[in-house]
Amino acid sequence: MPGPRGFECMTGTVDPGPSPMKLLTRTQYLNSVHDLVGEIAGLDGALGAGRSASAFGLVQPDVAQVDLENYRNAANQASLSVASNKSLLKQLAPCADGDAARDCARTFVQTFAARAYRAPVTDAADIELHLQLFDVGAKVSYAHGIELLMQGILQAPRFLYRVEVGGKEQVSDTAVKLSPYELASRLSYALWDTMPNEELTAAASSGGLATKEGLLSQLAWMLQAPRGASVMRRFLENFIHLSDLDNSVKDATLYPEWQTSTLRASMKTQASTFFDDLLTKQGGKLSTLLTSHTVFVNQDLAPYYGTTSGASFTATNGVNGATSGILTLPAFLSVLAKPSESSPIYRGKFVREMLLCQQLPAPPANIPKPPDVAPGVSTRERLREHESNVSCSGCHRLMDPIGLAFENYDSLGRFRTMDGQEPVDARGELFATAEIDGKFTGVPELGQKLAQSETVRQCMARQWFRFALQRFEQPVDGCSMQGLLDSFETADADLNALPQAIVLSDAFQYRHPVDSEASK
Amino acid sequence: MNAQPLDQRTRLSRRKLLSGLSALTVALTSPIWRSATVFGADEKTPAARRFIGVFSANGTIAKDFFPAGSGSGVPLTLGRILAPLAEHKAQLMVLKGVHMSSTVQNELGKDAPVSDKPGGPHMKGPGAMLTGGSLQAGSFTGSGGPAGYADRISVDQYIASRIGTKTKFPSLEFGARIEGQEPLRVISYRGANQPNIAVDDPWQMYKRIFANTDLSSSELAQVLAERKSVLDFLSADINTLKVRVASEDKARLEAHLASIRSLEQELTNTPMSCKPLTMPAKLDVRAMENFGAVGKLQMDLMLLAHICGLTNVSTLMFANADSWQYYPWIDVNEEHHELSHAGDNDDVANEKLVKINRWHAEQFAYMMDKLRATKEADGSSMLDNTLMLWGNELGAGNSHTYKDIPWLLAGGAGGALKMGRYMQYSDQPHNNLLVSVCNAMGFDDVSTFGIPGVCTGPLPGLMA
Repeated sequence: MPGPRGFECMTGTVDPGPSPMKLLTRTQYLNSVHDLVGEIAGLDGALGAGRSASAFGLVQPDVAQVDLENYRNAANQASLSVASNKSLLKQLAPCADGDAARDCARTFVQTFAARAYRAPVTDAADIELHLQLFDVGAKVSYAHGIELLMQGILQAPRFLYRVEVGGKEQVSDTAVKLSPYELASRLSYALWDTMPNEELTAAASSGGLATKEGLLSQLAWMLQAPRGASVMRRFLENFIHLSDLDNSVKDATLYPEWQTSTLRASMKTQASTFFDDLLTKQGGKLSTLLTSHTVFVNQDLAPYYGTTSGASFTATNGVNGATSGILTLPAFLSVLAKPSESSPIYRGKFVREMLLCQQLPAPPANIPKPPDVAPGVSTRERLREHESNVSCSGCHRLMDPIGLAFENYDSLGRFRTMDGQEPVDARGELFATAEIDGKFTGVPELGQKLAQSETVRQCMARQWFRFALQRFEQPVDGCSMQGLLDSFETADADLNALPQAIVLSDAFQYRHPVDSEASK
Repeated sequence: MNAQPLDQRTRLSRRKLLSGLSALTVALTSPIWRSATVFGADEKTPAARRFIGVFSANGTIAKDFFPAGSGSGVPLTLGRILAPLAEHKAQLMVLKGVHMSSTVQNELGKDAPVSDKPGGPHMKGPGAMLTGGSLQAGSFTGSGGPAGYADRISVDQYIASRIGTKTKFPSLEFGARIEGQEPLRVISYRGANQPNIAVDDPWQMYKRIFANTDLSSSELAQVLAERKSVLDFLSADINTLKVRVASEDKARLEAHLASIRSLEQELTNTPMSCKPLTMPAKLDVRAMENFGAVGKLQMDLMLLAHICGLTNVSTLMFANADSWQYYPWIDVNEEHHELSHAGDNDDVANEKLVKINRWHAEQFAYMMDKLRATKEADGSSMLDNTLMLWGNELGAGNSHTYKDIPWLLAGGAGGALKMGRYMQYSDQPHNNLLVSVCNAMGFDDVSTFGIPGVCTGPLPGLMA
């Protein structure tokens, strides 16, 4: 029987769902190289221009020639930095006078490559393959042999992808336990966005992850560590596409202040500081995320709130009736806006897709020609066409009436009471929701409605699932999703409860046996 | 010159490179070595030897792009938008009535139009333009999404698979200010979920194309030998790994291996016989105002790559689909996409859109000029042997229509196409145009392209 939330969990079956191999994200790649060899000047540039990721990086294309060139350039840069730095070389690939160079290289493979691949390297043929690459460079020098070997290791798929095959222990017909090293990798990339460290690897090799108790005790310290403590903040930053601020274009005449990066940098810090504060000091509740009156203000953002401030951020209360947590963050509102005006469509769409997890149909391929618009007309007036035209209204009534409630915020997310010549009309309406249909005015009222919604709580749990596992939830994930939702509800929708809940799910701990997938 | 050598250890002999530099114009006027590639089985069959695909965004203004009159196959007259191409009129063909039907039709063709293919109206176009396919489902949410990448190979990559194996690069993908969610930024695909995302930084492209040109032959030999060793290691490693993983992951590793083979091709088809162009001081390639300068550099690099025989296939995207580019240098201080939504009677906005599209025609004319100025060994111009295709994600921005895409075929196409004409069709799917492109490249065996149910064969009346 389908569960109350649309997920079916049949007791007695354990199905972890699909777990496709994932390429490291750009951030994961850079973090991992940093963990392996330390700071490498110019590595980011060597990797080529960044790509815009899909939501939570859920779509991964196959690598192209230019990607491999970029990986090669980055690997060469890192390898050269090590080989040309005597003390770093000695630290990573020590070789005392009189030692046979090939033996030193073997030790390097067993240590460095094992760290890079996040798994022990023990197979003799595997080691020999690595050593043959060392031999090519060693004709010049030991350092050059190590350099070439490092080039290979840093371009090897076991480094670039998170490769999993599972362990031997069968959990059900459709599930095997991950190997301890695979589980350690899942933990570290989900919670830290980087590779396992020494402590976690030691726990994996000593059986510390084999039981639920062991897993929980590792999880405890991992979430205390700085990168683990900030995981939910990273999730929320991704959730609102915070990094897109860098590429957001604003009209230079209307918004000269946008053209310098300081305002954007301040907006980002403001959002991140708010998330940190919410998660650590305000109780971390989803409802607070949507309704909090606390804002963080520095000199760039003080005018937004009719106040003054210095260079550093201080907490203050937002303008009464104008502040509603994540929904009124200038960073969020600026990303979801046009270069010269607000965008009720983008904002309404975000609420529909990201907070209610509803999929909007694509617009028709041929839309009617828009009417000519006189200048100075309000945005609401211009969107009226969407109401009157049947081919538009089907979808737009799902977006526009929500987004129009955001009309008090301009393209830079500044509160306003006039749009063009007309006073802002921030009346909105929700349709086609499970439990929060109805009229409202302005974003704070919208925030209150969303904060009461079970649909929104479920949606946030789904979003977290996607972020933590880098894949969409599927019907087969019924038990994993049920468990996640139950934990979230039990914790009264405290976002801080999500990491442990996902880690304890079947989807996180297990995978399909390779044979069963290969036979499909 | 700001471009850093790719390989840090190659610094020693950079002066040699600098002393040997010459501007693109010099390279363009000197006769070039004829690529050894055999184009088509029968050398006598007229066929283009090179393919260049060009993209610009947000549709056109039909009355200023398409010639007046209802005749088809008639001598070409140029409207206001294409006027800058007047000198090349004899090597142009404008097509009307060729729709990007694969964005709204499935395997059953026009008998079963579907309205729910993934991706917003601007997003669908770039994925379909050269593939004759459509976007897969996915989580890119920009511009009406959500969608993933396109579902099949694009015509430039098909051509590259046939004629691109002897050059250093099977193909090169250039862009100028391509921003936003990925499906908006890609027209070239090696296959489903295999985008060739264009490089929109000319300095990065310069490094790709002219890496290691400053090495002595013995230094170069060592670099190449070592790179080959690393690629051999990676191939062996992947071959071992792929038998252990699930089938889905294995497919991914196979795709990785295919790209490694392209890197091997880069090594084996090195060194090259051409001099790099001098790059100006680095510009901010993201800045709106540098669009023209970045586009110009990308055109120069692309043409030089062709002239030097480094590739025979390339694409150039002038901004992403749904472009928000401003064009202040032609007094257009509003963003392109917003303007493109103006009503048909908004003369002020439409005049600006004509200006934008006309500016793009000027860029296209620049490429044709340069190709024409380049002589092949047999005395013909490079343009005579090149097929260029200029397309767009939409017919018109204000209706988001996939119909009447402003298609322009250009170049001599090796004599394969009867140029200098205006072709008007009634409702041809652009898959048919892609078939004709393949035929013009000398692949007479191609009779369908993209979604089979949408394609009905080559466009009638194009060939010479």
